[in-house]
Amino acid sequence: MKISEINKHTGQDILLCYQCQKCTATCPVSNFMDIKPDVVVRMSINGKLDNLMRSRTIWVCTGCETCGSRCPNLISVGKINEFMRQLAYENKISPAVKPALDIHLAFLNSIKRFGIVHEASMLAEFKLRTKDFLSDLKLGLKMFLKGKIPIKPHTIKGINEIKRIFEEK
Amino acid sequence: MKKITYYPGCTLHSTAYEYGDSTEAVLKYLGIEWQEIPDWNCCGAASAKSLNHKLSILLPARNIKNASTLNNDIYVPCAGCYNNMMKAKRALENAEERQNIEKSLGKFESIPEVYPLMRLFTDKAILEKLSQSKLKTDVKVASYYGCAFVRPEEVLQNENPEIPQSIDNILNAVGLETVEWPLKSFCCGGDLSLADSSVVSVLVEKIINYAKEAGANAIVTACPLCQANLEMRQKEPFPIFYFTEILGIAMGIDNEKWWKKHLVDPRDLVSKIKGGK
Repeated sequence: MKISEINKHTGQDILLCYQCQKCTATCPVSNFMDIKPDVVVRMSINGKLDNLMRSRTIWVCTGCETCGSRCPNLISVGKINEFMRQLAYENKISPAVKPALDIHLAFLNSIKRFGIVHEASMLAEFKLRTKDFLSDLKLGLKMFLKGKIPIKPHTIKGINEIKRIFEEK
Repeated sequence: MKKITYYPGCTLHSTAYEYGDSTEAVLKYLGIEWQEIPDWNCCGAASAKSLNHKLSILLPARNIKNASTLNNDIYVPCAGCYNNMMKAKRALENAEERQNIEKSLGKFESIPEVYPLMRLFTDKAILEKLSQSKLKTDVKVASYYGCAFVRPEEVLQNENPEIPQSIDNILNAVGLETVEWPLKSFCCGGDLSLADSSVVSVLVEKIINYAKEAGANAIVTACPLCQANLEMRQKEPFPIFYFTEILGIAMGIDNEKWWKKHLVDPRDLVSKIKGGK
């Protein structure tokens, strides 16, 4: 992919990066990344998109945009990570942090079904996808008992419009 | 009487019930009339934009279209919803992108303004009205904005991402002191809360430790994801409020059922905020 295409999709000019590494210094989760934010920019310029799409980094990035708001050249690494996630999903590349993809898929399926999110069935689908049934069980139960996770789903009237949006995407 | 269009988003009817209920109570008290966006849908939260750009624009754009029939500004209590809706609004302001969106959703008659809920209360007249209900307490809180209300700055053009002030101004108006601290818009990792809680626990611990060190007895936020995440992933009980709950206390219209919804019981501190010892 050409640099100009990455620029178009992320709405910025990544060639302006002069590697000051402010993004990496300021990123709240850079400790948990296998490719640091400043290297993400360098790799996008050098066309190493395959490495990026397979990285932990793109799934750990929370999209908080601190990098973008503090970069002296207005480059948001978060926007590159977001674009790489979309590309990785489109190209069916298995994600380095699978539960991150699992939660997104469960969430979007819930919207597609009801038009809004129904937490109970969404969380059940997430658990089925991760096959990890134990973590956060107590927490989930506590939220349920507090009535924060409604049992009955509500479906919006325009659900067919939502289904069409999903087909068109 | 001021009239607004209201987009509660999914959480205010579920995991953030106390935010929704306190917001409505406060609006009623102030005589602000609100109407929900007709037949609104989920904005896609962090998931649509993670996997498909077009989807992340079309979902909130449908809400803007449904809201445009009401002819009032839209106020959004949830940071994630506000952020996504602003991105769709910016897309609609671009002629080429608007054409593509209209191909999918039909013609837009008008595009209403979109504001975070806090903006409603920082209006001069409302701030003045708020300052008629004064709390008498020495409790101090740390105002916490998170990411999505303030960044990306060029899209939202809301408030300074480094030193946001709206929640502070609202709380100070009702006589609650807010501390100066550096993590007002530091990310809590909410989007990763279920996918990788090990990352999130580190962020939450840092936020709570800084708030305590600055002398705060609680954190007050406006974002449902931050609130849930800060309650879920903390170690020692530290109360996390919605700013509308504090307004409710100041107005004397707070409701026991809000406090029961919290994962971290804030009732001891609530009575201190009310002036008890």
